Amino acid sequence: MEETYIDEDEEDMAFLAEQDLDDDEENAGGATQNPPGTQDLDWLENEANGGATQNSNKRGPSDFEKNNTENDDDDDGDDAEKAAAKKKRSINPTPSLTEEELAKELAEKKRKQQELERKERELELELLRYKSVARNAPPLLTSAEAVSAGFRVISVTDPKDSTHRVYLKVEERPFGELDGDSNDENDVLLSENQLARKKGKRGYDHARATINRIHLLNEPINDMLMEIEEKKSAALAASLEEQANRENTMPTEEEMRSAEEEETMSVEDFAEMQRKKKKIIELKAKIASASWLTKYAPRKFTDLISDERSNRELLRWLKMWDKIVFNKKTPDQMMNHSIINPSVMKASNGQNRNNNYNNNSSKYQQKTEELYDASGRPMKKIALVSGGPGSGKTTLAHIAAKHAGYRVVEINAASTQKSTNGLVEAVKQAVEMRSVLESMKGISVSTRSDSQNARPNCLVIDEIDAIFGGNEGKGAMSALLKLANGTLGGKKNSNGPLNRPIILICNDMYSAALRQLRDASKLVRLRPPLAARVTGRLREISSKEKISSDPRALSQLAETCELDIRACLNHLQYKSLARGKFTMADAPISGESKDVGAKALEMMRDVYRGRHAFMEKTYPGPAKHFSWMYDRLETFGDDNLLLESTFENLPSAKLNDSTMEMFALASNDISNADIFKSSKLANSTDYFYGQIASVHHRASGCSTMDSVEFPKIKTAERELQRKREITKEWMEKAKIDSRSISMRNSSSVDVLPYVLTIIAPDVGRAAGYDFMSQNESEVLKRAVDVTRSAGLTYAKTSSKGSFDRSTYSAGLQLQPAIDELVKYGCGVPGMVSKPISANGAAIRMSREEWIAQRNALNDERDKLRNEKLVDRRELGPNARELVAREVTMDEIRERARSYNPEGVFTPEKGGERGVEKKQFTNQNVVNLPQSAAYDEMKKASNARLELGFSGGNKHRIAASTKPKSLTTVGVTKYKYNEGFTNALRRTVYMKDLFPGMVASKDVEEEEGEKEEDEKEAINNKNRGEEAMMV
Amino acid sequence: MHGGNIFVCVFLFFRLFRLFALRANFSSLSLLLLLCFSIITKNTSQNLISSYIMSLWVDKYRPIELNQCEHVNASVANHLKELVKDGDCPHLLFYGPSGSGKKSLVLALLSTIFGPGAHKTKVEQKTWKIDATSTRKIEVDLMTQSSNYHIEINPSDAGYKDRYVVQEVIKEMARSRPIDAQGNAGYKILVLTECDKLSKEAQHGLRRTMEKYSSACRLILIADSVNRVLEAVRSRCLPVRVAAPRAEDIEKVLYDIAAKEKLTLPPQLCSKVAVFAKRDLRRAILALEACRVANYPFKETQSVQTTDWELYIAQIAAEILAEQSPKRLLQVRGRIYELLVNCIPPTLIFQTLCFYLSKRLDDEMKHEVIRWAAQFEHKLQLGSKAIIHIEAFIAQFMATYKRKLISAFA
Repeated sequence: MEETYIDEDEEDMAFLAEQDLDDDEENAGGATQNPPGTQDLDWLENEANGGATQNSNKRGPSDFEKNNTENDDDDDGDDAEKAAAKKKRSINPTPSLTEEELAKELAEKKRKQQELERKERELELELLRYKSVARNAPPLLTSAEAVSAGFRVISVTDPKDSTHRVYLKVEERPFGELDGDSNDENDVLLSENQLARKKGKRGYDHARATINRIHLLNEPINDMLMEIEEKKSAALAASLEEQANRENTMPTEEEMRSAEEEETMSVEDFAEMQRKKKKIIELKAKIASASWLTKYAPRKFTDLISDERSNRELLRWLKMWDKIVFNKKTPDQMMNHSIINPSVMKASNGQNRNNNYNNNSSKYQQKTEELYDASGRPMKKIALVSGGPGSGKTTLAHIAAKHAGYRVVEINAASTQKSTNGLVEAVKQAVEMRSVLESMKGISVSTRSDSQNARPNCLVIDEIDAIFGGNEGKGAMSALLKLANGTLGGKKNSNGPLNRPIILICNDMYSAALRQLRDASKLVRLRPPLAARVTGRLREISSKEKISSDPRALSQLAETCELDIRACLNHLQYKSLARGKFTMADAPISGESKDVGAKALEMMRDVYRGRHAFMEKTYPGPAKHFSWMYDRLETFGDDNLLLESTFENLPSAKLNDSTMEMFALASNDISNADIFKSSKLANSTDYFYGQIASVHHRASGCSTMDSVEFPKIKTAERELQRKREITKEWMEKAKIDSRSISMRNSSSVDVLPYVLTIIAPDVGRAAGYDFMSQNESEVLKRAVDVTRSAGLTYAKTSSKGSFDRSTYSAGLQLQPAIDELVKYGCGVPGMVSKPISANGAAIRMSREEWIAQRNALNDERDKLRNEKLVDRRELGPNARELVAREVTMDEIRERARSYNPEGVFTPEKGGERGVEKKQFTNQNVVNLPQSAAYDEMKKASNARLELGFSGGNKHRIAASTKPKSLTTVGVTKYKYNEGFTNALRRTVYMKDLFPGMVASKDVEEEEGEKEEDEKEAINNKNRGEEAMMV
Repeated sequence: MHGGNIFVCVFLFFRLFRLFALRANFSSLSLLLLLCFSIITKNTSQNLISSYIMSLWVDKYRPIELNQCEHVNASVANHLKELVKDGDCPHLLFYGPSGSGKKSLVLALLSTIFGPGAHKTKVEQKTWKIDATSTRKIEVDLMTQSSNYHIEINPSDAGYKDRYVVQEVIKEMARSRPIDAQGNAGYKILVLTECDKLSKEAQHGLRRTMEKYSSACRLILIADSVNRVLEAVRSRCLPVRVAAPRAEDIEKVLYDIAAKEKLTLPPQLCSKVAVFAKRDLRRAILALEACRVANYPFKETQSVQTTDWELYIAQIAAEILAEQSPKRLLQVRGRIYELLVNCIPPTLIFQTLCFYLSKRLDDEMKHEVIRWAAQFEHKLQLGSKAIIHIEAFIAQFMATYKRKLISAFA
């Protein structure tokens, strides 16, 4: 079994890897349009494009021609000039060519140019025609008109075909400001001017005219320049290489470059360009330095540093939509296909691969059924991604969606209107049609963005916890839920079930407002990334930025920022940009990531230790400590933080006190301080500071302070909130009859510990009712009843990744997870902290020390865990499965009862739970995924076994499985197997084991077998001697 | 069988509907609806009682009618029965320690007044929008359990907004007065649990609305301790004291349950459970069921399960008594955090810790402990962060205990 798990995993991995590859290829394809160097700056361009409100059309560089011709009808003179220049240039790059070749090339070029000119003229006409229809297009201008209208005309030449020009629209702005170095954009423009200056005085003149903002045609000007230059240099390099090859020498790049420089007349131009390019690159770096956060944002799925498992979980869920969205096979189907459909199996000629899958087909089958609903959509139609700030939720959502082939439409819940209608409209729009913006762009989208727009939308709603509060939020949420289930707007208006995936992002999955949503959505809990990955990324970035960084400093940075990559990067950039290095001194001490935190820690050091020389001077007199402290406290600002950190650090302060009296007094002071803080008295804040200052007074004998800790009350409060949510959920889910649970706040205190005992009876090996003693089965039946009435069940925890196979069967957890409320002795998660030395740096321990300390800690915890407080049994995985199944079955029975009170199914007689055969309409089938799953599982296992055991005569498989699949159309039969566990039970006949012996009677047996199958479906108890367990 | 009855009912309804609808007599139509409805509710009550079978014994053997209170609270039940014989009742205030049967009595009372329909309840999360001032609007979320005849809420869940809740709910109830079969305007009952945890403002608000809307609704207040209910509110209610059951009574109940479950319960175990429960009937029944699951047939020496948190607090108490040092204080702090995080109310921690500490102390120290516990619990009510006050208590205890130890050995 282990082995098969591995296989599955490998397959998954392989599949995902393939996807990765595909995507990479795609990216590579797309990248050819952009030189690789500019890729990093894509965001900049996008932002620039998005930010500017120009009516500029989006045009790729290849479209210049078209645009130019619009405005270019009287520029013949120019053309001639250029043609001459080009002639010159076209000769230049290859000076060492033979005369013949040169002549040939020239001829070729000429021909090409003529052709181009012809084309140009044609296009011109066409465009003229087109223009007259176009709506918002500016009127046709001559270049002179264009100039007077504030266009600046620069011609940028391209070494290959230099017939094109770029026209830029320029906004007016006093020229004087151009000289300032303050604005990066100005710098770009300056270089632009230089270019213009070189090109001719017309450009120069206009450069002297007022310039501020380039209304870009498609991309930022420098990118276009870059691109052109790139091409140019590529062409040059190519020709050089060719030449070099011919001479059988392999020049290095350096040589090539020097060679380039040496090209006299011809390369001078290029050298100039090179220089400019360098400058542009520098400028770009400056621009990019605006934020490393965006500069080094991950672009590919493999770039993500957040927890791999969560990443894959989300991606997997996205892929599950493939069938609906792309009409492709979902990953599960892809892998299962050969098993489900035997004909395919046959076609693939039964390689080893398939045999591997045979073993776990049923498992897959079962899983698949659990995950998809009848229409092939995932059961959970919404994904809820949660995680702390900076854990990369938004990035993950965006990248995973992109990776899966979607176009991300993001709605920021916090910024949209809170009204239900607004949200729902936005969601609907995003899910059902192209967004408005896009359809407006419609005409002029370039080819590249076109391919992107053709992608289906994937809706990402950020910060949903911000909207789902209060009544309106509730409306919005229920609307969203309805939308997900396809029931919005009544039967008439509904557009059927949801067709596109929706990803919701929140900080806290357990906030009360999201409770309803939690049940209906796929939960992806983004754990903070591994520290190693964060530091690795930091190192990578710092090396890219050419910053010498101390690895220790980086790891400390990662740690103190609590693995919040956003905070890390901001800090790194801020601290190292000026000096170009990042050392231990730059690394923040714990808590500094939050600004006040550092102050708080310093404050604590003062409260518990401080006797400063200057204090003696400033505050003479007997009350100097008090008044100094009081003043200091007053200026601090955050009273809550002050209180919490004073409390946090009290026991670790070494008060010179063996009798504990000082501790008692100090903690009494803190207790008073808490009262004054919450009190509404006019002077209460004064008293509050007084109390804290009094703590300082008590501690004045304290000479040493080992470590200062950041307060952790918040962590505990969060955890409490989470557990409260669990109890609330439990109270809501409990049946109304369970008066002792529902509507009682204290049920978690007095009832819960007993309920946990009662639902976990001793049921031996829990192989099913058949194998239990009278007492055992009675107890189990009772346990099932109590479990159900208490609103509990066992379910696979959704937070665990589906890739985590090891916990798949054993991972059935109580739901709601009330058993977490009796966990003691392990500490509150996230509350154990590393000691920090008095000077604020984390205490550096040697590896041995650290290990020793950790082991001691673990030992203590294990001890506590082992000495169980209450001797309580826990159900084993088998029993859990059994109970979970029984609970489900009971639900079904009850539903059936209410559905048809006459009772179609046979009632239980005397505790004997026989095989029940029930028929439901299809409507009910949808509600019963689990039993359907089991049914399917059985079928799959039949197919599998037949395949596995029938050996040579494979034709039987097709024959015997086909009619079966036909009979299941319309009515679904539900078979309830007594004592069902994870192990599969089915009938195997001797003839299956020895096919050779009965080969002659094949046909008869086939008939017989079919009958057997029917019988088996009715009663699987009468199996006879020839049946055995598998 | 129920299905048949419902069918008859529906049939009847349609026959009569035809008769009446033609005359467009709307009032008689609504009367008919009510009639049909009452038939349906009578039917389903049987169904409901049968569904009790599957829940915990505590719920399963809860008295449904006042008649069924045999061993515990029998006299109270009799009085109540007399009280509501005419189908009406004054405002009531039930008070008594937890597990004494207040809620059971209230539920039984409801079903005695209104019939089994009172047991047909639904739980829902309700939101009220309340105009606190002319400019500000407050939204309150609360869980309610309601039947056609009553609403049960726990207003203290709403925190500081509780005063708005009680007023608003009562107003809402007054707006929709039920009409009985005879066309008389009836009343609804509002059950407020944990009344002693209501803020003073809320209780004052209650005082006013209790009188104003007394014709439309009756209040049943449930509180652990009558001391924390305002005098003014108390005087408007008929107080009903529900005493904690004695161990003998608990034993009787346990035997009763064992007989109904067809179990043989050895007397030793029974008295053990009864004593263990400390006059808390709920705890006794739960413990008995846990015993049943743990071991059957029962052994006389079988141990009775207690709660995890109690054991943990006992452990903490032992640790405090073993060593008094800042290091231990820090360690204990972690433990207290765990308790708090597991939804154990701070007051309960105080109480239990105090109990386990004083177990091993002489009389003089016991006074000290109780004094400090009381002082810091009071501070806890005034302040906001429970952990601070609990730790202050522990530090104080450590200091006092250490002083005592030193003086004893010196």
